Amino acid sequence: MFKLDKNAVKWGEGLINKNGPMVIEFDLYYIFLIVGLGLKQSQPVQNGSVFTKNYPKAYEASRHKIAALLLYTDLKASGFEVNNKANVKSAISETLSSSSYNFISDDAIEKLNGYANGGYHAIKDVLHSAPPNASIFLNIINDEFLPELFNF
Amino acid sequence: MKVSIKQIEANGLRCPDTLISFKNKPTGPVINLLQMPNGTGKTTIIELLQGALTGDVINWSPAKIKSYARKTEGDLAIEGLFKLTISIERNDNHVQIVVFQIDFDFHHGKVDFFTTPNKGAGMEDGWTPPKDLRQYITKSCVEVFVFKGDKVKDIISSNKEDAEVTIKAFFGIDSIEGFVGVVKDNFRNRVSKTTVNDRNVKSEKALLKRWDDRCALLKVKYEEFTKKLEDYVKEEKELKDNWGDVISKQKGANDRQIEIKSKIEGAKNELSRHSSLVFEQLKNPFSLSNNLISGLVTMKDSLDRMKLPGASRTFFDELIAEDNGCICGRELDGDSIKKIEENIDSYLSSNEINIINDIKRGISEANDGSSIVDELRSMFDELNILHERHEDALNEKSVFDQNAKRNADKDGSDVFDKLTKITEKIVKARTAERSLSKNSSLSDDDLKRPEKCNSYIVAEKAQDKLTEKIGGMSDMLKDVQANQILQKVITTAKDKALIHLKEHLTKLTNQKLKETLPSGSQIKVLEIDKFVQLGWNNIKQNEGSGAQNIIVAYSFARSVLEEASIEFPLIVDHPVAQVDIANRESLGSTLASMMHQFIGFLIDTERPGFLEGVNSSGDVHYISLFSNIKGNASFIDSIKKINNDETYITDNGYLCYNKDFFIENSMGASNV
Repeated sequence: MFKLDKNAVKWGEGLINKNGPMVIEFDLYYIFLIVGLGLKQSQPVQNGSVFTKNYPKAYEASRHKIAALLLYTDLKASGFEVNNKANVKSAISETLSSSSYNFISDDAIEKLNGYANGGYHAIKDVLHSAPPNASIFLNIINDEFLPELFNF
Repeated sequence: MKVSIKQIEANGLRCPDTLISFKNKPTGPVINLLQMPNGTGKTTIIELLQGALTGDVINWSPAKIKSYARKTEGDLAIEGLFKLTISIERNDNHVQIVVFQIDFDFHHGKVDFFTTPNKGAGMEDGWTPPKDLRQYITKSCVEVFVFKGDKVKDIISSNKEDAEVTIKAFFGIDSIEGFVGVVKDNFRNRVSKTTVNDRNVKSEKALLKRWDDRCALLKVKYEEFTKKLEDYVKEEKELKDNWGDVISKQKGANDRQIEIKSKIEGAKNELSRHSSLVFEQLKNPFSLSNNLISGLVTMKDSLDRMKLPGASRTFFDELIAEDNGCICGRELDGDSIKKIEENIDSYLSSNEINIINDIKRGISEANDGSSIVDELRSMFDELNILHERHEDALNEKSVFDQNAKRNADKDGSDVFDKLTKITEKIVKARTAERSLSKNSSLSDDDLKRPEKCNSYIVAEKAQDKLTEKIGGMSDMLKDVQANQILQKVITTAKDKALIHLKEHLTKLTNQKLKETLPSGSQIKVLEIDKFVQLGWNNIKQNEGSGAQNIIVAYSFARSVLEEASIEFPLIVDHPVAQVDIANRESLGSTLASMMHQFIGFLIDTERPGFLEGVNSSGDVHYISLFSNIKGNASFIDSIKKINNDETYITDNGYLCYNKDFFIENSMGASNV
């Protein structure tokens, strides 16, 4: 189940707007997630609320890509090389789940939640309060975070 | 059923005493254009028309009633009259004439309301229109075809719910919601009457009481803010009009203001459209960094080299299940099966292999040389430029406003300051209103702390949850389940009906847009939810041009009315105030195709371009109304040259139906 810390929801609620570009809560989660993954920053969700069980339709095409990012980041975060067969195999078994619509196991979703929470904290360190709209938010993410992501 | 406005009569009110006849034809459309100098009572006429049609005036406060009294040299009129005559044409071609009459007692702040439901019939006390018309002339329904203030924007604005409110009102969805409330109240009453003498039940009941109190408090606060907001918006509208008047007195300022407004709108739309494109691209996480792609390619190469056992797991699963022995011919005994089962988890299933293949394919595509990373970067660069352009346009407006304030007299400058303050108040009140009606989740922890809750919607959720819990604890499990099922059935039916209506109205509105907008126009309704979402090629945009917004709003209104099988006139205050001159002509020429009767309250600054367009569109009825005051001396002189049959003079005003007089005498802001 996809969860966001309640403070994170509160922080970003003004960014979600039916008119776009960030329309649903998952859009906010996704930005936090890519920042958390890209900085290898994870933090357990203490006071979380579930906002969706499965990926929303708009993210259907990204499911396997997010799974790949999690695999990659987790291997890197554990200090393992991505060409170590045993590690890769065990990471795949822990992460992927063919029986889930989300392509990943419940434990892996918990890991994603941790990275999203890590991303939220990283963003909040730079932006104490959320910008007035999502368009400005995207611009700030580009300026402040994108050059720093996945430099590992 | 076709409803038309025939006449409006006013006496002793904040507008000249008059009897205005609006033109209407059995077949074909008619455009009625009414011009009045600013401050003559345009808003009074529109508000009273709404109040009479809906009967809402009966509920007005004494202060509000008194505010409609005419003031002559400091004295308020003692009484007044407003009479609205409508015609209703049904399928059998029978025409029914209905008259709504409001008698004002300004001294006591009271009104007497009468209805004459048929020509020749006597007056009846109260609001008694024909029964088949009543459901369509409620306050929410009438707002569909009476466009005043920012109505056009309210239909397409994402922070408004006008589109949904309209649909709910016109198609009876409101009544179903009311019914859900009745079911809930009934169940809660029954649960509260249980007399189970259990400590836990008592404690939950005490908690429910705290939630009841909290919910009541939050609802009061919400209503207070809603009311405040309503007043602020009304005040803002008046101040905006006044500020418009201040600007129009400054040479060239009006055109400049329209130009800046259109620049801001253009920049905002472009920014909104491009932000959506950027975010779509960002949803491909492989486009984030070249470093990421090269890392992923290494991981993919490793996966290819490792030749992770693919379909092996399925192979072994089937081997055990079929029980035909090993492929080498040996029999599979218990030990062999156990050994295979112990190791089976280290193999991947074919489904997992499919996911890995998808991942590998995604990595290969990201690495195919087309550089999705560069593409995302250049899209962000463009976004930056668009932000600057939008910022520049806003700065331009700020400089313009400051200059206009400097060039204005003391009163004008005060208007600007008041407008700035009221805008800030609106922002604060909206934030409070949103927070008080926020629909967020309710955890078990939240349920224990009513005093921490700040939304009446969440408080209502807590009340429902606790009521069910208490019901369950009080041997009412079957009732709890029955109540849940009943609520679910009603809510599902209501939600499905609403979705179906919204989808159907989206199609109908788009058909009308296609008929009305110039070919090649890149705008359509993507969906109707709380508001009408505009866009093109599935990319959302906040709004269209001024003319496009108006056509969208009218088309939406027409679609709702058409679906409800009823026709009403379109009554519009300032029909083209938000439209640049270049587009007014085409809008004017399409008006006749919109409704069978159009009544537009026009001011002088809207005339250029619009009158030319309207003239070419067919039957136009020109009406001028003004007070008998010194400031209107030039109109009074010129009206004396007009054919008497087209001019009506009362104690305090002039009414003229002459086209040439209308064209030659421009009335509006400049006559204040």
